[in-house]
Amino acid sequence: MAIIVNLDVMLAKRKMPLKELSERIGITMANLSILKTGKARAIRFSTLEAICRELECTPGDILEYRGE
Amino acid sequence: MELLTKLRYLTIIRKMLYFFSFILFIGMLYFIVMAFVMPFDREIADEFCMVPVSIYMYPSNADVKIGADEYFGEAIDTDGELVIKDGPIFISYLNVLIFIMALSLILFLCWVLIKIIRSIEARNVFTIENARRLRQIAFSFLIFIVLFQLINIISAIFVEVSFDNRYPTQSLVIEGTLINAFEFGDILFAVLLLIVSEIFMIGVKMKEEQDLTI
Repeated sequence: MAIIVNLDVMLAKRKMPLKELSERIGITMANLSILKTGKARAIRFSTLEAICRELECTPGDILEYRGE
Repeated sequence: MELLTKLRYLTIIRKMLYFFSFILFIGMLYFIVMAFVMPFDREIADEFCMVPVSIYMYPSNADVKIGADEYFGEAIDTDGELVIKDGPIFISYLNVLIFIMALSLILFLCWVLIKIIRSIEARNVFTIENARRLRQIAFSFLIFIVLFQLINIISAIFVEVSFDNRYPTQSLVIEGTLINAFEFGDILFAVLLLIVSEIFMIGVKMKEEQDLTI
């Protein structure tokens, strides 16, 4: 897909393991890994908001558009 | 899926389907045996020499048009038995083929329905597998119905029928043309199944989309 998810970059910057993020925002590890590997088709704003709140960043830090 | 609760009737139906498929299998063996016996026993061949005739819907002495022009407009006395003379043996074979095809179609249906019911019991219905199965059912129905109608028309052409040997004619036709041997309602049903299977596929895609929404 043309939208790239840079979740692992942000997790590394904040030094937070994926498991901890999933526990904090209430999303399963499976779903988060779907997001991380770029298999997700859509993301809810509520989820995006929760991720940005926990990682203290903005959506642009996590989502990037790379047109082909 | 927490939505499906009362599924016990489905389980009962599934168990009955196992039983039905066994009986259907026995039935298939019977027709295969008939196919081998037919060349040697004229009576059995005549039993299978079937022709689509909707004569039972019409009262006797109705204004019935029979294939040949000599009988056009004449008040036909439809009392008595509809007699099918020694039809060509290949008609009997075509009809036995129809029986075998119908039984195998229903057998196939039993198995596929068993698998679909299993998937419902496992609470996992909207899978690509089930969508494929529904499409298979729809196409096999369509193919069967088209073949069935073709064989109907062929039988109507090649078999001579008569009322107690009055008005013998090559093709008995009621109020119209040979096209009466062709039934459109069945094809519409097969088209309905096709449409439903497409709708189900759309449902599968929707579930996939939903599942991959984080």
